[in-house]
Amino acid sequence: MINRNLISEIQKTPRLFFVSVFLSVFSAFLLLWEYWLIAKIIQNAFLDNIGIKVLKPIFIQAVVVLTLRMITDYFDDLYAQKLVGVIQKNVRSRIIQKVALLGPSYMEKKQSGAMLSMLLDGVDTLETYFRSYLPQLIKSLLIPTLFLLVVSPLDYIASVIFFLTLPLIPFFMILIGKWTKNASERQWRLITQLSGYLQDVLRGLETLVVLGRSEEQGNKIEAISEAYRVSTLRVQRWAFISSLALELIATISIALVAVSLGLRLVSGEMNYQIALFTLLLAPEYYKPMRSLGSYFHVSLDAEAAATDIYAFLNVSEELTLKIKDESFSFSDLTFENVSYRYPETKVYAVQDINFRLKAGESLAMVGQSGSGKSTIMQLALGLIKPTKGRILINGKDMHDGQIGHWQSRISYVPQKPYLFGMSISENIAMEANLDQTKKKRIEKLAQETGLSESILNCPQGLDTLVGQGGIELSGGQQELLYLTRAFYEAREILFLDEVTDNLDIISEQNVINALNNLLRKKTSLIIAHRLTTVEQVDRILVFHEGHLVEQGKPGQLKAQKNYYYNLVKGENS
Amino acid sequence: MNPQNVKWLFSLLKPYRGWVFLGAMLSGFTICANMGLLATSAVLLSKAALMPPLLWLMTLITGVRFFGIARALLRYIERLLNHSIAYRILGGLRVRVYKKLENLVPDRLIGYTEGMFYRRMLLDIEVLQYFYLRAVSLPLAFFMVLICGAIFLSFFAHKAIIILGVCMFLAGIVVPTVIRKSTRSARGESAQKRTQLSDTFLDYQHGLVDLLMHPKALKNWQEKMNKYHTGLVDVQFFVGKLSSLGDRTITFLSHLTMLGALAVAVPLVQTGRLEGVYLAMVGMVVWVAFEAAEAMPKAIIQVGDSLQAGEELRKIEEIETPVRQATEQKLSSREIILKDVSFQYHQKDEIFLSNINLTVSQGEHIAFVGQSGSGKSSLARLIAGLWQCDDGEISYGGNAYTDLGRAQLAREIAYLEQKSTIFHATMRENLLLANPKATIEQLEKVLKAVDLWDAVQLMPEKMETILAEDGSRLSGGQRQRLSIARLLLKNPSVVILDEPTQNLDQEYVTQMMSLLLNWSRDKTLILITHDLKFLQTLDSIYLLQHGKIIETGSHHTLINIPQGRYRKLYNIMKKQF
Repeated sequence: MINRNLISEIQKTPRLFFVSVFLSVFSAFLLLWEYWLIAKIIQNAFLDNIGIKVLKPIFIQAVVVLTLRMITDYFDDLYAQKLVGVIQKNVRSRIIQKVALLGPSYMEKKQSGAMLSMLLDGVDTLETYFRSYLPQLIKSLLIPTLFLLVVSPLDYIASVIFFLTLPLIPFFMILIGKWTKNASERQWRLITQLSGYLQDVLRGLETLVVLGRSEEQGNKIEAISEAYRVSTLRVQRWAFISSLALELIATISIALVAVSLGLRLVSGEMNYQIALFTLLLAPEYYKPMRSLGSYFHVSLDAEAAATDIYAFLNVSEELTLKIKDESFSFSDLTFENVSYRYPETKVYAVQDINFRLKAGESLAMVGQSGSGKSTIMQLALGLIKPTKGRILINGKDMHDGQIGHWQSRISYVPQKPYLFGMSISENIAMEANLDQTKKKRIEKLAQETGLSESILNCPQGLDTLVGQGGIELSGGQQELLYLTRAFYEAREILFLDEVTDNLDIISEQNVINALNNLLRKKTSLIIAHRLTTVEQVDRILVFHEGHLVEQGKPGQLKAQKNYYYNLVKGENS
Repeated sequence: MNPQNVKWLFSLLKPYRGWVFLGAMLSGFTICANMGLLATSAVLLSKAALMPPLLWLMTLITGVRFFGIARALLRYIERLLNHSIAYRILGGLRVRVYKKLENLVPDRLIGYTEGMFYRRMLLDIEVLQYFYLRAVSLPLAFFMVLICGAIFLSFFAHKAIIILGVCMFLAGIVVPTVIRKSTRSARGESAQKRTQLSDTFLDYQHGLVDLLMHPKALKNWQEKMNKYHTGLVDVQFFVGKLSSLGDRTITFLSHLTMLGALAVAVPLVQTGRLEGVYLAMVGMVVWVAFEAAEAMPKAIIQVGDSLQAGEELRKIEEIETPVRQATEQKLSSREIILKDVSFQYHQKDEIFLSNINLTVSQGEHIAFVGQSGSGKSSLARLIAGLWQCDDGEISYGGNAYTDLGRAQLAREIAYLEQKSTIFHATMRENLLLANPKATIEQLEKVLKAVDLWDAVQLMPEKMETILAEDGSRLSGGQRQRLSIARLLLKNPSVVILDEPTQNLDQEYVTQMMSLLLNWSRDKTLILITHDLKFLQTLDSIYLLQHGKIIETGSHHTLINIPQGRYRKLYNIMKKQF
């Protein structure tokens, strides 16, 4: 019912919270005052037969008290809302930050639809928790206590009824809450599943059409929707039953109070004004608890969402990214007995790898797919951390945080490029809203690399929108874009995972030319798929089943008539 | 508010209208029961104050108990009923929108982002529940309570009716409308911020590697998202502030009405026109009636939101759908004929294909070649039946494509996409998509054929391993081979291979290509490729440029055209390798 993680969020801004609580109590005081005045008006008019003129000041007083109470409540809301805002901002920023800290190798396993719904809807549910549920929880403790304190000296029998019936409400709530907790968690899981599934289906709609399976997904969506409806209703039925129970307790208690008051009035033990005052209070007395009941299932949603959110936020980070700006001049990158095993797998992807990449040198990695080249690249980039061994930069362990900004020294061209939802030139510069000088520079470089030529079919040239909501570029075009970026940012090191697509002949020529230009200038580590690339490098590393089996110059390796020789032979056959 | 939109939303409600009406009645009764509870209680106290014999009060005591229990029960039934209806409608709508999208995909939807689909399918539909939970039942309940209250008061203090009417009108209609109007742009802004946030977040997640390589860009992106979500919170704060103001005004009005009703009733008591015992009751009834008004501001805003969401959904609903036949057609042959086919991307003016005429007879092996952007993939998609041509006609076995059902077409024509989607499902499920009836032996066979079997054996759950989104557990080459495995599970008459060796690791190019060519031997084959290596054996080659076929003939014919474009390309290629 009270989630420790969520409460810890409040501890970051206790002031807002306490002001809000104080205002609630103050407002309850004003409410008591107002009802006392109303009871007085009725008593005077009914039993004492006093006229409206004499009662006028009491009316005015009541209106003033009422106005004051409304203002208090308004500020109370404001503080609660502010608190929610602070927490939501904070949690969202942390999720966003965490994504980067966990890095791509972790994030790839997450469904992006589920992540998105956590960031948007999950955090949204926190609003009801902090704005409605939690303040209500506090109010439901403070306000009845206050009322009891006021009522008991006036009429102790009513206060005994009040006192005895109130605990029934949390009692039932806890009972029902226990029952619904599982259902509610299942519910949240189901929502995530539904949203993940829909995202998946929408993303792959074309494939489904091609496979002739798109029509039946309609049925599946229907089935999931139906399961979702049934489960939601199941959860809600409990929620409704819990509020039914609460409501019943409250209304029966009101009736009990009313009848008991009536009986005592008949026997003359009771003053009418006090009786009326008590009756007016009765619904208000149970109101906080009842509202709490109606927010209760919302709070369960929020808690289920919170479980996911905090599970994500508490994943231990494999990588420690140091975003500090240290200047150092790169002299060498060394793999020292490096082994790596992907989480959840038993087999090492690479084992006991030793090699060195010196400044100005270019290395090509070759080997069959699955031989470990890509893992080496990831390790060298610092996207994953060796399970055993060390990777040193200038002799210092890359993961000791000694070397700041290693990644910003590298131009990396992955095999599976990702284009952001902006223009081609903005993708090259990795920033939006480019100024004219930058645009000019990109234009010139794009001419040189042949990118401009290859995107002739794009309607707005370099300003064409690509990625999400834009045009899809071919593999060759994407690689040229990345190579143009490498020229643009002029970093000292190039890491390249060659695109394996069959590029069209013109693009291919452009890519080769651009690449040769880059290779001449930079330190480079390349996963090579083209023989032409391999001819240009200083040294070749040959990988086989996770081991580095050969290294040397191309000619030298060919002469050894071993792994490399066989690879070349296989390709030419 | 668009009347057409409201009409559309109501039309979805039609099958349930009896239930909806009942739900609304129940919510009205709930409030009336509460009125009854407090009214009888007030009369009870007042009568008791006059100290009558106890027996006289028994009816009132029973009344108090009855109303107490009725209220709680009614509320329970009402909520259960309304929610059940709402979810049923939403489930139906989800399917309906999906079917529409499925029918449109993908040619009419170029330019829509993935996030946009997702929002429409999931969030917009979710928001619509408020329309069905509140749009009908709350106003109905509101008026019912108002009328009941007025009738009730007419017996005791008819002047109070005016106060009740005016204040309820202010509280239930004017205040919520003002709040809605004044928060409208803010709420629009919030929707926009959500869209921006989700689009940026998707980019952030998928492009994380690049962003990590560019700390400045990473910071920019994070700042951009922080700007959106803090903006979102700020807008929500503003909306919250105003709605709180509205709520407080309504409570203020409700108490003011009670005081007003008392002020009207007190002189009546004095002049003897109203019995004093009913004074407290008049105040109580008026006060409780406001319960119906208190729910209105939130309802009006939520209904407004759902109307907007409904509008978005209706936009999808209104896109013109190509008429598709669902019935099986008799095929006179397996011949594909394209007659004067033209195609252009919607929302873009450029014509992608113009006046294509071509016949592919059964068993023929042809290829489309040309540079990227020359239109060969578009042509393949048209022939695969994924896209629809704007002009001209494509027919298969004597039937126009528009007369062939999707299922039949997918059975006849298999299309290996350039980038086939791997679903967030197990390896087995991903394969079975292509052929649900495939046996485990068949799956094993195709996996071995594409050399994935060993890789699957190394996965933690083997065939039951869940492939993460877009198959990121697999390398690019493995993904492509999985797509090929899926293709091999089908038994089509026509095969379209769109850049089949794309994404493959070099060592697999030749192997996969000969596998595919061998498999297609007795089938019609349409090969789209950049790679001119594999074209020697084909029957004819179509060279495309700027959406037109410029050269046709077999490999040997084409390389012998002196100034031919194909010949030129072939020579460049020969030089490279």
